[in-house]
Amino acid sequence: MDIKTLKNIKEFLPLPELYEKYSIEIFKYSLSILNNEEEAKDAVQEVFVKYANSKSSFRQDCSQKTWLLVITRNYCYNRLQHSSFKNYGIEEVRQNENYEIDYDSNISLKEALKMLTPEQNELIYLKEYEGYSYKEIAELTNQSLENVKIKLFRVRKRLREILK
Amino acid sequence: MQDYELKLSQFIDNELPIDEQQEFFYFLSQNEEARNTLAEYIEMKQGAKALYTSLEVQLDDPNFTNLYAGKPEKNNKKYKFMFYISAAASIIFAFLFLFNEFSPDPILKKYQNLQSEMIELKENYNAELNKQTELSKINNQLYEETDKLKRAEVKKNKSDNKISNVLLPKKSNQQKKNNFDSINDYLANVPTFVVTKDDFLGQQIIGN
Repeated sequence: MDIKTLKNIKEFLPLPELYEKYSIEIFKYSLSILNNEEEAKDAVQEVFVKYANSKSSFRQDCSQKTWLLVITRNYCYNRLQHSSFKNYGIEEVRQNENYEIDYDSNISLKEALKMLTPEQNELIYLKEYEGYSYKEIAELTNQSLENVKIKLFRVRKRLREILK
Repeated sequence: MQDYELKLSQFIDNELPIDEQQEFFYFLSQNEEARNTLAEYIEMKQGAKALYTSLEVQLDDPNFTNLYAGKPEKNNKKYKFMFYISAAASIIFAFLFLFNEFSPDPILKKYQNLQSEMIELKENYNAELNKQTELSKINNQLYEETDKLKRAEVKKNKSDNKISNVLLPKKSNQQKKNNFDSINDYLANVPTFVVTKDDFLGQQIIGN
């Protein structure tokens, strides 16, 4: 996978610091795909263990974060393929009190997100939370740029329909 | 504009090409429904972002972090204790070895003695071999010296117009006899002369 455009950070952090810095993001990314808090927590552990084991194969042609996201993605989809659980929801996740958007609409958005497929949730996470460009998402998810554009549009359209 | 929702999606992601933006803005200004859809999309975008931002989770797993941070774990105490014990044992063994305090196995000792004897014999053999080499070198030198002397003598004899006995190859008795016989046969065919062995061997006849 060519992920040259994803090299945001060139610094190379040791594993404990890497864990401290990116574990929450890995958790959120895993949660967006797995839609299960416990599974996402396990994913974080697995991803960092996999990272530690595959450090020698890390060519540093992308940032450590991107490398972690690639490992996370592979792990999560692999997990989805080989497990019986699907779409448990994210209600267990605690909400920040400073959250400004209306509580009711917030719940409905959560409910709407639950109705999406793991791939659609992943796209929403990568675009809305991580703020990646279409090109970066395309490279990370191994899709064409046009595909990403269309899929994001369809996800939004579907979300809008659910929320209506 | 048929696919305005796709363009809306691109627009809120800041991915709408610049050359399409003007036309899109004009379309937005003319279409209230599109503006409402845009507002909904923006709200969804912000809502999704806020949802993920607001997620809080306790992930701190001391076992995992300690494993890679290299901090000492509780189990490490056991390994430390074992390390100190093994270090002390190795020091004691080193002392025992240095002062020969322990008695080795008799077979091992015999083996070691034999080994040292073998080494000694090997050394002796090598010394003898060296001596022999030296002797053969000396022999060669002697031979070369003798040869030089012989050659010098021959040279001297040649310069005095003398045929040295040294140069004459020694003939066996049979050869000598054959020579005499052949010469006698030859002389027998010469009618005018009666030649004896003594005359043939003389300097004068050879010269004639």
